Amino acid sequence: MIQEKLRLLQSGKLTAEQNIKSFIDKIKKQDKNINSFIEVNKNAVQEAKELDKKKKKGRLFGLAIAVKSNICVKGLLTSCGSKTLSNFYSPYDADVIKKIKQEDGIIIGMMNMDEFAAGSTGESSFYGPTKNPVALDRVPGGSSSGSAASVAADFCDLSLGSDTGGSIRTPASHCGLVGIKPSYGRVSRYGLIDLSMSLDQIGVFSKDVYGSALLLNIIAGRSENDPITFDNEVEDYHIEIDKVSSDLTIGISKNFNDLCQDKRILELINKKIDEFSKKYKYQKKEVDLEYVKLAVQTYYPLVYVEFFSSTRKFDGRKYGFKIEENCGEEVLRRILGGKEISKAEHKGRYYRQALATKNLIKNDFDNAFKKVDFIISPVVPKLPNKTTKKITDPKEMYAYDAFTIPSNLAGNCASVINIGRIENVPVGLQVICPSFKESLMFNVLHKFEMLK
Amino acid sequence: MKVKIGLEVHLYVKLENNKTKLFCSCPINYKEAETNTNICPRCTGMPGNKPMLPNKEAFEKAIEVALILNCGIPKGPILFQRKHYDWPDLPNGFQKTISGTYSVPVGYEGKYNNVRISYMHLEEDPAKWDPITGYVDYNRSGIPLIEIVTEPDLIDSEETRTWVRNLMTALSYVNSIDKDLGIKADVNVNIENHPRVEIKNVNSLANIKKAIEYEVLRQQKALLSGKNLVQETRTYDDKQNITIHMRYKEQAQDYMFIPEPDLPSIQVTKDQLEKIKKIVPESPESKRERFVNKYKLKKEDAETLSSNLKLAEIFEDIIKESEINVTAKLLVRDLLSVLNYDKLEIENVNLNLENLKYLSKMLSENKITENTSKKILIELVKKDFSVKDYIKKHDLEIKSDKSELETICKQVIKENPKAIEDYKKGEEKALNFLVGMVMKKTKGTANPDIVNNLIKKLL
Repeated sequence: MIQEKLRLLQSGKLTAEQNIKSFIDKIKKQDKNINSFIEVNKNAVQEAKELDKKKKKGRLFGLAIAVKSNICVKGLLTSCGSKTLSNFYSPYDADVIKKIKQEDGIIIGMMNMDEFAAGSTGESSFYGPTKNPVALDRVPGGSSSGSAASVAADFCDLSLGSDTGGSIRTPASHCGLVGIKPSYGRVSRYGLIDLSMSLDQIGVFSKDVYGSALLLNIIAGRSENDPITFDNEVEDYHIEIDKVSSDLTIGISKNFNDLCQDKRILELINKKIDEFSKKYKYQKKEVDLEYVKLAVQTYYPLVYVEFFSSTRKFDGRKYGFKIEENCGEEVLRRILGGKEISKAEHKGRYYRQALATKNLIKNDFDNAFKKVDFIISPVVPKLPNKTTKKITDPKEMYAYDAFTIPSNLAGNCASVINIGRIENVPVGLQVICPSFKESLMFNVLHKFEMLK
Repeated sequence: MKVKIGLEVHLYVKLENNKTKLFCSCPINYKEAETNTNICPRCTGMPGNKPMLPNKEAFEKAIEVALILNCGIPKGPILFQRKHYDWPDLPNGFQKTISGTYSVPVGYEGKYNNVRISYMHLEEDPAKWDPITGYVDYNRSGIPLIEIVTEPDLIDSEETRTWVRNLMTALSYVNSIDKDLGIKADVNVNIENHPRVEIKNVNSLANIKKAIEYEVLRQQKALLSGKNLVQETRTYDDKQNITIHMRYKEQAQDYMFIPEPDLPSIQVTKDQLEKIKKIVPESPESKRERFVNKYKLKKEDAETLSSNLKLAEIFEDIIKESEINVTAKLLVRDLLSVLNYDKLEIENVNLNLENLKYLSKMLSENKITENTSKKILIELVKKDFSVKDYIKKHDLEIKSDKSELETICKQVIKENPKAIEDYKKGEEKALNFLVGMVMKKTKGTANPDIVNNLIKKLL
């Protein structure tokens, strides 16, 4: 789909202006029901007109890219879905935005999200909840709710999200999309407003695998602006998408499957794996991920402490609103919790232990990847909640991320692709690959795409 | 009542090749730059900012400082920490520093001039905040600072001031500190077995001394009148020359240190360390001792010579060909007083080493007088010229040719009958007068001993 659209744009059969205008019209008519945008870029059509004058066209020429509101775009409202930053029009572009603009992509707007990316349902934004365009009575998943909903609702071509514990993969699953969380250190996070710095990654959403592969190829790579990015070669994921890989081994872990509450999801996944392994003659192997069960307990101390630290700049002096006095419940819980842990941390008990456990989980994956090429698991343990049902118990909310968090802790790359529906709600499957094996991951995703 | 004093000295790193802040590429010339012009999203703490890798030159300069202070250099990884506190000068709400509960400093367990160095490390400077107007200037935010922390081994204000001055000498040896940007010290003062008081941001050698004097008196008076002292942080007001209570001292846990997740750890490699060790000179402390032991110099002269690396190097170079004591005298007494008189510093004067060598050699061989040498030095610090040619041109070599001198002496005797009379009456002064007259006629180049003997003989 994206490949076809790009061909039209590159050949001039479709102008950038036409592409952007049709999206803007649709957003104007339909987004009031979805609430996926916090701000539509008022200059988008003008920018498209300028692009149409260009002779040499970039690799994202004229495509509409929606951006999660925690990624700084110069001149646009980078609010993090919070009242705290409801005045913050970023004076600079994040590294990923610079790269997109260089390739002639057009930022169509700033997307709704769980406040400061601290949520998995898309309901905790200061700007109101995001609706799921493909299952209106269900939550879209979060925290990159608007980025997912806008792609699903055809308000844009591609979108950027961020994933700290599943914030791309969960909404990708609920909205029936491809969602990519790249390896830690693959994409520069300069300009991404922090949730948890040792886990955050910027990633992408698209309807087809090609779209994600192309956009990731453009935004990935080492940047001196983010010292934890790596030098590893950025492969042409989109070109090598159907590279034939034979003799691959699929990893399956009962440590994941045991945690899946809705057994219908497991059945659907197992059915797909069987189809997949039969068609491509891939072997299946059970892998032991013993410490995955500790993922949620390990994740939250890290997130609390790092989030507390990173929100100290929102002291009310520079952006007008002191975060503690203007944020929602979950954000406040994390800040206060983070503060207490940080104080107690003087004895090295919590944060450093969590860092140590993080390593155990990474070792689990390293060992598993000696035996298998990639691992397949569910994305979430159950179907998305109905919008009428509010989760009030944080433990229940946190358990929701049990399958997505491990990859953030291990730093590997993980992704979601839709494999069908249950109760007419989209269900995704997670493909986890070793760090910097994005190319392999896109091959596998493409092969699932071809199954349909 | 035994007093214990410890210091936390903050100094600006002197950068020569990469004059940028610690974690971004903004320039460091904050004093010259217009307010809030040396800034970027990083040093203003914008949402979404990430630090760049620390300025490598600043880090290597910190290692040089560690080495000159005889500190150990960690073999394992060094990790920046976040030190959290809520203050208008701190744009991110935390300071990136290599200090803190779990940190591995750049240098540890050093010793300098009999004071133990607990550790020294690198950190970023906060912005400049004006508490009266509320304005913040971020030009200063993120400039690399070196902090040197001592054990409480100092015992009084004078000793502390001298130690800090000697510390500056050591730091000038490695050329790692920008003295023009000043010094900021936190001074910890306590009377043995009583709580420790920290005096924040004392900003000159003189103020360090005065602040300690005031604080010791204050604590002693309080104890004598039966009051209890508390652990607290005070500030020094140099206008009133008093210390004022600021807050009760933070515990380390209040800073909520965590390792900086946005930066990889730094490893000092063996090669890097070897390379730096090569450029770090012998410390002034051991130089001084060596000068006393090896060259039998007076302690004061050794101290003066080692107080300036260039001077010490000139000294050791000259004595390869000249007499040690003559050279020491030439440099310590004559050269420094000439420089002092003109308010010059040896670093800024275009002194040709060959000229100094020649002067010292001529003095050692008794070919010119000290007087001549000093006159030449006065000219030499103003502009460079060949001393050898100058001496020849002005005929300044000591005249030891007896027949030539005898002629002059005879002439002087003839011209001064009154003095001869006086001398014969037994007035020693008259002899000095006659010698002086000969010296005058020879422009000070006559050997005074020979003249003396000649006149006596002739009379």
